[in-house]
Amino acid sequence: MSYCLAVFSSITYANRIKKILDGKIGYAALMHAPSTLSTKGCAYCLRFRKKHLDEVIKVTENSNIAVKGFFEETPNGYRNISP
Amino acid sequence: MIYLDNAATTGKKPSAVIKAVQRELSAPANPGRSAHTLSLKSMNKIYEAREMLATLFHSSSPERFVLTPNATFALNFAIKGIVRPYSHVITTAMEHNSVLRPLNAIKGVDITIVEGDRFGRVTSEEIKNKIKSNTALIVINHSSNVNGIIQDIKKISEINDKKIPLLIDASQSAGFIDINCNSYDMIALPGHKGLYGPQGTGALYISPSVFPDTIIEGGTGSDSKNLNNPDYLPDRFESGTLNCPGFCGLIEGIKFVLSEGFSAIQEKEHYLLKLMLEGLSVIKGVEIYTPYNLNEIANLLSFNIKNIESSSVADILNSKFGIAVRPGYHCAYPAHQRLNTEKSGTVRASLSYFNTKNEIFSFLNAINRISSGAY
Repeated sequence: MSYCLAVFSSITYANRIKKILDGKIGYAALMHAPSTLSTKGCAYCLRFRKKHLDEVIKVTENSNIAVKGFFEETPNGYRNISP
Repeated sequence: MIYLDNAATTGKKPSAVIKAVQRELSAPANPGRSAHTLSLKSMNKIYEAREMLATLFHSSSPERFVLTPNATFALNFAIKGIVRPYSHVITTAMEHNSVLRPLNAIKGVDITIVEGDRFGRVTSEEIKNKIKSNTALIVINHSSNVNGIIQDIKKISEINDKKIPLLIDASQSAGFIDINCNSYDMIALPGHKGLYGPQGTGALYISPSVFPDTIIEGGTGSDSKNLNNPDYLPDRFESGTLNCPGFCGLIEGIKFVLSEGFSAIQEKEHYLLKLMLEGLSVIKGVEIYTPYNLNEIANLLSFNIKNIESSSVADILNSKFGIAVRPGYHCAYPAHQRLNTEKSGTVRASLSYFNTKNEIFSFLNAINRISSGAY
């Protein structure tokens, strides 16, 4: 199963989106973002199944919350799939 | 003890507030500093506190509520973050030192104090007439902590056609008056007064129309490689570990206010205030500094007994009758100049939802005895 990460600068933003997604897409885990994806230092991300990517993008857009990027987990690391 | 010092901090908290603090203290973690189970649990409580504040103040943006240790910190963030040296600020004679002192600390700031009527009420026109080309901020105390008068902040916001940032000090009104934050640029509030939360909690609402500078910098759990604080809310203003146990209590305090409702809270406290005003007004030697019209006042009043220092009245109430009030200047000396009480201040009696009719009767009986020397 493929997974994606949505990276946010603030844990407040990540949690706001998680609360909207909870109950909608089943799995959305709030995690410390991998350092390779948080160029400015500490950041937070939501990890979710790739099949829900469009819905997560839609929720972030509707919430007017800035996302630092969307990434897909690959065997070699992360692939930027930001729209 | 009959507690009538609720304007300083509400003396009785709902039991859910106390339980929530205890619960968090039994398994604490640092919110927003990691992503382990306990840290996320604490972070969720912090977020819930923002959500409750957003609900209370009719906002759809919880992240715009910056959590602070109290209203004084919130006012300092707002004032020092917006006002530059040598700029102009408009405020009122009824402000607390938590507004006047930060203003006075800014180099060369030009402060216009609008005096208002004999109770300190200002009009929107008076405010508008004082606006200058370099006016950087208007600060209004929504409800005075000295005599309880309510300023018409909605009307003041409507005359502000030059879009000068308007900061509301809601220290005495939050939890008593329903405030829609969308009409104001910034609102500073304490958690431990009308919201029935623990001490060490407060908040600053910041609208999208303003972007204050920081006055405290440090760790925020975000953008760690950047030597400047983040430029987004709430992280920009939340350096250092938040008082998570306190904000867990505040969540329950706000829930209490919302479940009881503003109408019920106002109705009960105004009923008790009316009893107080009526009772005091017929006691010989008592002078009241609060207008009688309940539509114009929050949940407190100020008075003096002729020829007795306010501090002596408070001391006698405490030691002989077991009644807690606050004497003196209430950290708002210009308000006493306005009310002509600058010689010895006033005795302030302030209510909460938990006070009772019998407590007010006991208070009135005590004042009657003090004024007649029979104590």
